[in-house]
Amino acid sequence: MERSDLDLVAAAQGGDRSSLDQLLRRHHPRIVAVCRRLTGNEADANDAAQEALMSIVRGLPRYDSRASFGTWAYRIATNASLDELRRRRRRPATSLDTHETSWEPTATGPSDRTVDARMTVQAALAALPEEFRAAIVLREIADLDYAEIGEVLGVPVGTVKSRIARGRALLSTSLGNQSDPGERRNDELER
Amino acid sequence: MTMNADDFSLDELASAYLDNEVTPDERARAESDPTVMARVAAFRSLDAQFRADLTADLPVVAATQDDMIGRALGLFDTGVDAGVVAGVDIDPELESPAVSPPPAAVVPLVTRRRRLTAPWTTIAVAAAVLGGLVILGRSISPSGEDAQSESATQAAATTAAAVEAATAAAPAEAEIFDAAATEAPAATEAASAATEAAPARPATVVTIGSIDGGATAGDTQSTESAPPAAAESTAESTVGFAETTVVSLTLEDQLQAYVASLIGTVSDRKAAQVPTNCLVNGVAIENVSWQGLAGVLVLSPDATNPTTAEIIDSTCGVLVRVAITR
Repeated sequence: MERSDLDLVAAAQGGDRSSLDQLLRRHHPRIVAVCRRLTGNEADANDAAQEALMSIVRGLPRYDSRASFGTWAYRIATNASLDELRRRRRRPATSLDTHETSWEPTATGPSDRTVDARMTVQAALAALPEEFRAAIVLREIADLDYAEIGEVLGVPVGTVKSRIARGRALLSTSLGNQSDPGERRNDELER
Repeated sequence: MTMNADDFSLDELASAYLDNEVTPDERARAESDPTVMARVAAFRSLDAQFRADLTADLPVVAATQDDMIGRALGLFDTGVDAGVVAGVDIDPELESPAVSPPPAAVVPLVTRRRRLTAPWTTIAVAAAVLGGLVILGRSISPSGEDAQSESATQAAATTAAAVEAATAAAPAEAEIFDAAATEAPAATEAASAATEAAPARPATVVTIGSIDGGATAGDTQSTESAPPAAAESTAESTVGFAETTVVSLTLEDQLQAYVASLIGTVSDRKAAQVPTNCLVNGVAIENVSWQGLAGVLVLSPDATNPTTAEIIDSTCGVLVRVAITR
């Protein structure tokens, strides 16, 4: 039977390395996914995800399970990603930055059409204002409810509701423009 | 296309409906309005795109898993524990309340031992080295090179002996956690004996930083018996710095172990915290405390493959420098 996050946390807090390993492996994919969609850049996302994992390890002894482990971990990942974005903005463009690559899905596996669709979603997401993007990512990728997103972002639930709605509206417009102009034209005519 | 207030209100209702974040009244209103339900359908389609995107992404993410988790576990192995969350703001609301002491199970016993051990070890080693230095200073005053050489040799031997006495005391006081105060006098006596030769000079720990930074043979010997990889964690203010908690280090091998746990995880985490003219050939990583002094950890030539780790204070002074071997 799979052990709960709560069990793994308690064991890890008691010094059990394998429980911590299991806990991190369970949440790692979504932590990285959150970081990738918030930063939109593979190098920054990996830095942020690594920083988040280290911070989870450092902060674990003080984590008290009042929020779910996932909420807590995604909060750390979100903050690490936003920190990374702030640092990226401060960082002067130098030749050292040229090795950074925007994140692109691997070409192995999915069909070209799927890859195109994913890149379109990524591009549309990256174009959103940061506060909308964070709310959308925490809802769609981290699967948090509005109250949890409010905790993570430090805003009231009403603000979360508003940001997600605005973000979705912008994304719908953006993706509608790119995927099917005719559909958008019909939509506009209806208005 | 601009969105008016009605559009936004409809979008907000449709979005909340999709996420099951509506009241019964709102649900009824949404379901009775075809425009809202059309927007729900559009948002649902978007939702499906995101989930497909994530599903396709997870195998790619898994490729980096071992490496990243290995580094995080490496940090766990070093004993860096509660209270140190550098660089990432963790909401205190999500952490244990400060009103009650942390349960014993939260902090590994070995870490607590190290926390108790380090100050005694530092004081004992500091006293021993200071004593040796004072003797060395006195020995240089007689005239004649031979006399100087002989005295210096004696002083070095005295220093080494004092350091040995101090380090020998460390294991004894390492058991303080278990045996309460009964063994503490052993360390205190060793430290007192070592400081008798230097009565006029206060036994501050500040001096040790520069001596350790010089990486003399005596210093190497003095740290060999120290517990490895015990990066201590204390909450302390660093005036003028953004962080409120820092990793506190007291021994060179602690610093080396801590740096080893960081390699590959960061590039320039807190680069703004050290004067740029200090960074001739290195990258500022984060605030740390070295034997009670605030400083910034700098890795050279870079954070990916560092060969040297330094802790630099706000005046660009090097508190300690160690070689990093991998």
